[in-house]
Amino acid sequence: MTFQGYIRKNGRKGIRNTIVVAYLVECAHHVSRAIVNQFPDHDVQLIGFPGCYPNQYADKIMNQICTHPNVGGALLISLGCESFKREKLQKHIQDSGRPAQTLVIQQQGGTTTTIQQGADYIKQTLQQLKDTPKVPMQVSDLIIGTICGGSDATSGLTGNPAAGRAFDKLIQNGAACIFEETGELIGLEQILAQRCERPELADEVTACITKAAVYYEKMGHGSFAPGNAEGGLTTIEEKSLGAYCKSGDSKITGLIKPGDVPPQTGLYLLDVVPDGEPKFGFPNIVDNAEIVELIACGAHINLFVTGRGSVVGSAISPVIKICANPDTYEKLKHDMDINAGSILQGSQTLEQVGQQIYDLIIEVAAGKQTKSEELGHQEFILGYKTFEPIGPSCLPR
Amino acid sequence: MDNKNTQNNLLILSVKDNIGIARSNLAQNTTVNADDKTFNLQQDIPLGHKIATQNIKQGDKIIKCGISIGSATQDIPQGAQLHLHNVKSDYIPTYTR
Repeated sequence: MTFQGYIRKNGRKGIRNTIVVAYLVECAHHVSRAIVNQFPDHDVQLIGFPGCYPNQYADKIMNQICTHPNVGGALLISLGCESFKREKLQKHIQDSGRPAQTLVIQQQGGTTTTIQQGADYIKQTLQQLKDTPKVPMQVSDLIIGTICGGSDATSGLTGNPAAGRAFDKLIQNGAACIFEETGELIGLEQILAQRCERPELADEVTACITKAAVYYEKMGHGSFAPGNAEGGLTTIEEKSLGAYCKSGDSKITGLIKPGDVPPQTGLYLLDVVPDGEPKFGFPNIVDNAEIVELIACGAHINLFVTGRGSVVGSAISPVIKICANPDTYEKLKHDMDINAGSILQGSQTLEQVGQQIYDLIIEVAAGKQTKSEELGHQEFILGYKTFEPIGPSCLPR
Repeated sequence: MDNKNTQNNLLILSVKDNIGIARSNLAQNTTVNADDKTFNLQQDIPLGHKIATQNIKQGDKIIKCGISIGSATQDIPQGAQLHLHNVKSDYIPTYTR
């Protein structure tokens, strides 16, 4: 089965051809948004990093996001005095064969002129992107991520295992799949270790979950919100058990960190918990911070399983929302792509919903808009973190 | 999923479990089955919430899907709900609003 995608200079293929307008500090946020707002009917999206201080992690994520296969070109908006390495980012984007320009507000003459010049650049780039070459794509060209948010006790019974079935089928067809939320795998270290392809990888995965448990303990708070308890989840172990099911039954091929792209097909665990002593607060303050990390790892599409009912989407890569709870689906059906709650009601099996998710992934890859895309959701959030590079046994040789 | 329970309003995920899960919102005094036992619910149980399918002692592990999800902080009788008031994490305490 093939569909049309956009070919990039490095050979990777994208399913969207988005122009990103990226603010490089919060002080450039308004100007960037004003530029984006002038193109409501085009695929022009707002992303950015708010901090004034430098951060290697944020730098890596921005570089990866701006050259993501779904991105066709970029406009960078700088105030002028922040520490973000804007020249390096612009060069990285241009070297990848994409159009890119930087506007520095302090040099352009302020808010109004920068917005005008930015809008002119976007108009010109939209014309240019009409010529982006298209090629046939197949499932083996895809990287798919999964996350769960607004979880309740149904998430682990319907939506997450159904996403797991879709993952198994994707991997059988040559895709790379990424699961994450290592803070929500606490209690399952031994089971995860048994699923690793290599013993050295099992040691890395165990250490990574132990790191998450220690980190969250120091934060004084697990990855657990009051709504999780209202939805029937009692402990982080119980939430983990549900979250774990998203990974399916495949062997674990590798362990990656934010911004690392899976080198080949298989199932990858994304370690989202920072290394070293806690420095900048919670590992990920909200679901979209994790979605951004999955996208920085190359995810073309992310599966988002929710029980309580999250409505978010994302910039850059479409989000497919899988509703685990039949009552929530009734209330929020216009936000949901898949009704996995039907499994609890007995009208569909796990296998059928898994297949439905798999089929929808291909349709979305071929251009179909997800519910959150149609509704204009383009959430994006990036903060400070510290990571060491992954160890040598994390990836297949 | 345990086939013999698909007709039932309680979902038993593994034979090793000491809990069952409400398949829908269940009212107090509803009769439920777990394996060969029949008992009544001691209170209303919302969709997805947990019920003790046997008498559980303080300190016992709560087993769901064959895996421990925490420990009982008090004795829990068969048919009672399990939640924050009688179960705790063995890792990180659960925060509530």
